[in-house]
Amino acid sequence: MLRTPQEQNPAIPDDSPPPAGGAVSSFLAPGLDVRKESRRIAAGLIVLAFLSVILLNFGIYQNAENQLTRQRWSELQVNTEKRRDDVQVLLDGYQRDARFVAGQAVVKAWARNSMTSPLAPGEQQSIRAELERIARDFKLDFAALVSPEGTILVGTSGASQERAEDVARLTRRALSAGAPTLGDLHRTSDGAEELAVAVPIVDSGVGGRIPVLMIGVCVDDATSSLLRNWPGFGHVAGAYLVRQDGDRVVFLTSLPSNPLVRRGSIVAGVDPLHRGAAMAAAGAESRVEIPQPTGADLWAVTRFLPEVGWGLVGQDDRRAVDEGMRSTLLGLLLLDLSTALLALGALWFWRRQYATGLAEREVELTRRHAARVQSVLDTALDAIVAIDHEGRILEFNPSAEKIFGHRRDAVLGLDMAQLLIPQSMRERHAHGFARHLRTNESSVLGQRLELSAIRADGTEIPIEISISRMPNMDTPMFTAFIRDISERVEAEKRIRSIAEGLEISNRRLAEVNAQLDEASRLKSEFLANTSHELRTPLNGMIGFLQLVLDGMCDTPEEERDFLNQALQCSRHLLGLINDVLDIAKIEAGKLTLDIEPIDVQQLFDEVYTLTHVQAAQRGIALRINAPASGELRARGDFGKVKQVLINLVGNSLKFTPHGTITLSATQHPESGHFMFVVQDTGIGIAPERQKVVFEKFTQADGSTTRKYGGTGLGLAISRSLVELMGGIIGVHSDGEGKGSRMYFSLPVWNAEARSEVEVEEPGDRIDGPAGGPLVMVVEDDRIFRKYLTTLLHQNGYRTVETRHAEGGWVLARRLCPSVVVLDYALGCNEGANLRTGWDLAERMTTDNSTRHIPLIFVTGFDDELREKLKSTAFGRKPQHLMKPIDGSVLLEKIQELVGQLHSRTVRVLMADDDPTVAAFIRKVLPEKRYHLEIATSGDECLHFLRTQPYGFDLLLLDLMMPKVSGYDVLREMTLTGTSPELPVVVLTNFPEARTDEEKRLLEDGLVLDVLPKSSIHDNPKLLPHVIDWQMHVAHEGGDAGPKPGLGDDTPGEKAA
Amino acid sequence: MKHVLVVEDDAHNAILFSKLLSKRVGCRITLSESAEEILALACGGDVDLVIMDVSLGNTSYDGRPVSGVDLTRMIKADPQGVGVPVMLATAHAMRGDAEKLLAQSGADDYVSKPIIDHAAFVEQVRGMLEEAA
Repeated sequence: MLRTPQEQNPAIPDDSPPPAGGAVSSFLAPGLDVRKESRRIAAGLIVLAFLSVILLNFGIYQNAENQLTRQRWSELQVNTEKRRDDVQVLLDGYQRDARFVAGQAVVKAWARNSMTSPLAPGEQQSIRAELERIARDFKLDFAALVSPEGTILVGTSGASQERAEDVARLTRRALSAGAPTLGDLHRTSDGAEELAVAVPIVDSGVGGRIPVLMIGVCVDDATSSLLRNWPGFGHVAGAYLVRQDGDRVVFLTSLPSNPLVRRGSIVAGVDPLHRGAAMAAAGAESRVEIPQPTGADLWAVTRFLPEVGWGLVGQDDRRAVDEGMRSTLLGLLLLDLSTALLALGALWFWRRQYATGLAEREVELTRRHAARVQSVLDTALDAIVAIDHEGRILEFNPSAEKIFGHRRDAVLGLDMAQLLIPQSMRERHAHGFARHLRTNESSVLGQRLELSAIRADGTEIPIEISISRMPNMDTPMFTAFIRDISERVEAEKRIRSIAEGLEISNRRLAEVNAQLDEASRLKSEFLANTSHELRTPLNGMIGFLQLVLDGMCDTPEEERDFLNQALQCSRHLLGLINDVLDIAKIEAGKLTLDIEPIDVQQLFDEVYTLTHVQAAQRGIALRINAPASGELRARGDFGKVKQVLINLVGNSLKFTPHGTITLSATQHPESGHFMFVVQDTGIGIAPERQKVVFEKFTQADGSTTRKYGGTGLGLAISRSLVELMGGIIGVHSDGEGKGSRMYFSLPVWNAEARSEVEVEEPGDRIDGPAGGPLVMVVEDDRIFRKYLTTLLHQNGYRTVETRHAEGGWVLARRLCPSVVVLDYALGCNEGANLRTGWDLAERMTTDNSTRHIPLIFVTGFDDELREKLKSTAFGRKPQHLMKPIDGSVLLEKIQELVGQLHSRTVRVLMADDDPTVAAFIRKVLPEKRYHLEIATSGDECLHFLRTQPYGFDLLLLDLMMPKVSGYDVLREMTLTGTSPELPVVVLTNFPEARTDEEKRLLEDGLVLDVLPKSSIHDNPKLLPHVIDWQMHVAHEGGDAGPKPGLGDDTPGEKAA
Repeated sequence: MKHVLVVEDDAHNAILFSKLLSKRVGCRITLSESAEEILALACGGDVDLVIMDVSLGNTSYDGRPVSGVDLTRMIKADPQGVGVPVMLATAHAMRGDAEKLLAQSGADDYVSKPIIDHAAFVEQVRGMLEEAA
């Protein structure tokens, strides 16, 4: 594990407070540059290594010096001791030599001789010669025969008398010791010391006098080779002998390397330069370092030779040590160098490793971070789109791909605004973006906004977006989190529409409530009116009869008049009761009509019979204009029609003081109705009253009831009767005093029409080519209705039909058709509230849910309709066509009304392996409006769907294709949810499913319709209409009509 | 001779009232459907009793249709007419109508049509005439 730099480097405290600025904190700062960090660590390591090397060197140096010094000392000591031993051996040798010489017989003889008598010169001569020989043989300085008194009896030339004192002292010592004795003689001539050995020659003693043989040798000469030759030491190394002389020190030997050591020189014992010599001379065996004026200290080891009282000093200087230390230093240097090289190498290697490690760690962290970010990006439900300061897309996550339908790799680097922002918003976006870059102000950053965006297929979807600017970026970058809120908006819309629906329902309930209240009020009013109306004639009846019974009549004429009055009142009462009962019956839906062919001529005859007398009485001409040809018959209840006519004629009679009443009937076989008109030259009706004359208990003028008689119910009853028989009724007057024209219509009788009564209500079944615009046909003439529906089917419209206004109202509310084609006069059930097309139109235009639906009246009563339209305010004037109609004119009108609904290009994907079908479809679908993509196999079709899931508005699917069939495509779409909202129209020669599963595939969900190919061939317009209707439905977003069930007849067949 | 003003829009009933009252009470009868005339007569001091129908289909005043209730109120609002007794004679004879109409009009009495008991009605009229006198 890598240790943190602080732990490695003790020079840097590892915790707060941070020293000297932010070095540590920056050192600690995460994400610091790897190189910088490793450089710092390396520098620390180098300092550490440097210090430790210094310490090490110091230690090694010290140690080496100590060791070397110690070794040198001990070597010096050993050598010095060896020299002492050598000197001892030498001294012993001289002693032995002396004893040997003294042991010579001849010497003994001489000695005795010399003791006895003074030596003859000859004898002396020969002795001297002998001594000379001995001296030569034994390399002695001198040899002499000394008397016990210390005088030299005979000696070699070197045995001068100048050292007589020393000789005498030594002789005395030797004689007292009785053994060979060592001693030194100071040579006065050159100051050198001589070693002397005195041997008493006991055997030659005469009379207690014992002669002594003394031999001498120059100390320096004798020992020089011994003391000076120090192999393995420096040239300073060497040893010398000293002797104490009082408080002075006498050098016995000299050292060529040390000018201070000169034989014979005498120095003061306290001289620091001669401390070694002094110590040695004093007999101290020790070692001492003697500083030298030259600077190089001398090392001295002192030993003592007790026999002769000499001190031996072995000396050397530091030079050897220094040389040794030099090599040690060299070695250390080499060691340091190599260590440094190694350390540097290791450091370099480590740094590289460490840096690499750090870098790897950083890379790893970055990678992990990136992976985390990536996984967030990948799994985020929201679309995440990042852009740079130029608006180019940097990031586009899978949700974004899903929402916008673009592929990530295809959009990276593209201009986001061009790609996702709707045209209308781009300028604002560009403006705001530029302003933000310039001023850093923004009204959108950090906000939740609801905007719209465009998808790959060009559709605009509502989105919720929140944009943030990435912090710490050199150039501005922006991230947007986007949510597709289509569903929410859709749901809100739905909720709104539900709320609106509730509102509408509430309003409608209130309306119904008001209607019920109104109905209830009307009922009470009707009851009160009825009560009042009935009581009034009763009063007359009872009153006059009472008068008669009470005998109040003065004359029989008066009695008769009273009875007559009573009779009139009772008749009026009867009429009232009849009318009231009629009205009550009609309102309760209890009136039964006996529908039959009506012979208009016969009808008019009977009416004439019943009315001409009254007319004649009033002096009014009554004219009857029956239709020229009596072949056609009206359809209705003869009695009721007669009642209506009598009513109208009676009405005219009442309001026509003089002039003519013309009763006429014209037949309009082309529009299938008879028109009955009662025209008078009476007082006329004011325009504002014309609308209400057909209401109950009303008359053109309130004041007319009593004046002109009548119950005020006649016209209301007439209206109900006419409308119940499928006619319309109306009045027209140019104004008061201008006469009036009352009219009503009845359908023309035809044999089939009779059977139609039994035919059950067409219901709400939708027929026609699937997907076509829905047209509602409200028409009571079955033949004309059949004609209309066929015409519409052939031209790609679907239809729903009904034969009366009430049914039309229900269907219009439920199916919301694109267009309603309706007749003015309609048959209706007893008790129906809406009886005519007019009633339906009025109801539809006053209801919010149906107000927008365009209406086309197709009617034979065009003039009447026009009159009514003129006097009625409609939000949207219904169109009207006169029967008989030209089919193409109607189609044009419908096309015009429906066509306004859509205009954009429709993208159609077609899957068919037969190229001729594809070519035909190309011809059928005009290029201007339809973009057709052709897949020649099921596989290719699926490929299209996968790659462009929202690229098409409709799929035209052939079922029988090799390998992957149409069923397979449907199955795939159903199972995998590919293009879930793509409507499918199946085009096939084999519309029958063979298995249940195939049947289910065709029936479920996706498939809008199944069209046999033959139907397309027979009717080229069918397909565009089917497609357009589908687009219309999709565009409107509602179900403008239920899908035609497959259980219905195959539409193609119907179209054909 | 007492003078009774009869306001009635139904022709049969108008004749009936005039016959009945002239024969059995023996008073002078004036029939009118004109609001102006009615008000002039009733407030002119010449009329001892007004028999007033409520639903007057043919009567209007200042161009607006007026009912017997309206006319009665007008008569009672007039200082001259306030003392003239008014009897409502109407076919509005459903439960509660009498009280409602009397309260609305300020009329003195009420008789519902059809009038079954002539004797009682005649007594009622006589009583009112005497009271007025």
